[in-house]
Amino acid sequence: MTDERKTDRDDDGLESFFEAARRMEPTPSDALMARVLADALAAQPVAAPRALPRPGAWAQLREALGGWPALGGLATAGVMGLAFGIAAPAGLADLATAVLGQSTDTYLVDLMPELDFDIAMDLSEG
Amino acid sequence: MAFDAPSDLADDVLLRRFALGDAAAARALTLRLTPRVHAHAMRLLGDRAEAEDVTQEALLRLWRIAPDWRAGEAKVTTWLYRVTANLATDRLRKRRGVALDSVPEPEDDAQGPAGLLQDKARAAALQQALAALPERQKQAVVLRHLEGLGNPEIAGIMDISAEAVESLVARGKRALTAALSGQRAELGYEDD
Repeated sequence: MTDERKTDRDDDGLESFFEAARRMEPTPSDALMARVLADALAAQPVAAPRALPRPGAWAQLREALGGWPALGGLATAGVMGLAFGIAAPAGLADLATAVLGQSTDTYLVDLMPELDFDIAMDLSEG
Repeated sequence: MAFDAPSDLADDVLLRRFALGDAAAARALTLRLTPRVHAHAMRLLGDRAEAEDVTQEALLRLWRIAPDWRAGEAKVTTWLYRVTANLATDRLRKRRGVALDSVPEPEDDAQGPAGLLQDKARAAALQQALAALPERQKQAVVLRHLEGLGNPEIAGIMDISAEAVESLVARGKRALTAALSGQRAELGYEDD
């Protein structure tokens, strides 16, 4: 391209005018560049992906509990508990008896009898 | 990154990306094409404000036609030179009769003050002489000698034969030579 115009030199002195004009090539202002770019961006289809919507409170709670599988287990447990509360299966009473014994008496079981002794000793020494 | 930098891509490839919404392609095309369109408009019109309007309008038309651009049919720059010239011609017709006293404001470059002043003076004299040419001659001379295009591309832009381009350029140059001959001494020709 540049060669084309350089090989086309005339002999009447015009070439030096052309050379001067090429060296003084007008450059666009920053404001023009900004206007052209603004037009370009405005003319483009909207292709940029939009920001994902923020999850709601329920979605956040679901994720905190471990997602849908965890929520499924939780729901099943809740329903079973409710069902047992309303109408316990017939075998459940027998099972309770087998585990807890015939009597419904409560017993006081001292799991750490030596603790009383220590406290007694502390009191007597104090 | 696997993608090519936008600055390495051909104009029509960038235009296709532009049409798909690629903002980087929009920026690359703006940076690449605006200076060329603006320089051409300035040379045809000789007025900064009008040249800026024409530049913005020509590129706006390119942005709008981008989705329908068919690669390989025409060069983007060929199309832009044609649209710019048409817009400039419309402007010139509207202001016909008004004195063409405005010339491009020269830009600074690395030359010394004396060379710069001489270039400024010569560029201004050429601009005034160009303004007096018939529009088609001016367009052909500017495309050939200032934009540096070959005759086949100019023929495509002006929708005429390469021979007709040659004829327009020759007539334009004769007229320029006649117009500038009286200024050769004033413009430092004795130094060349």
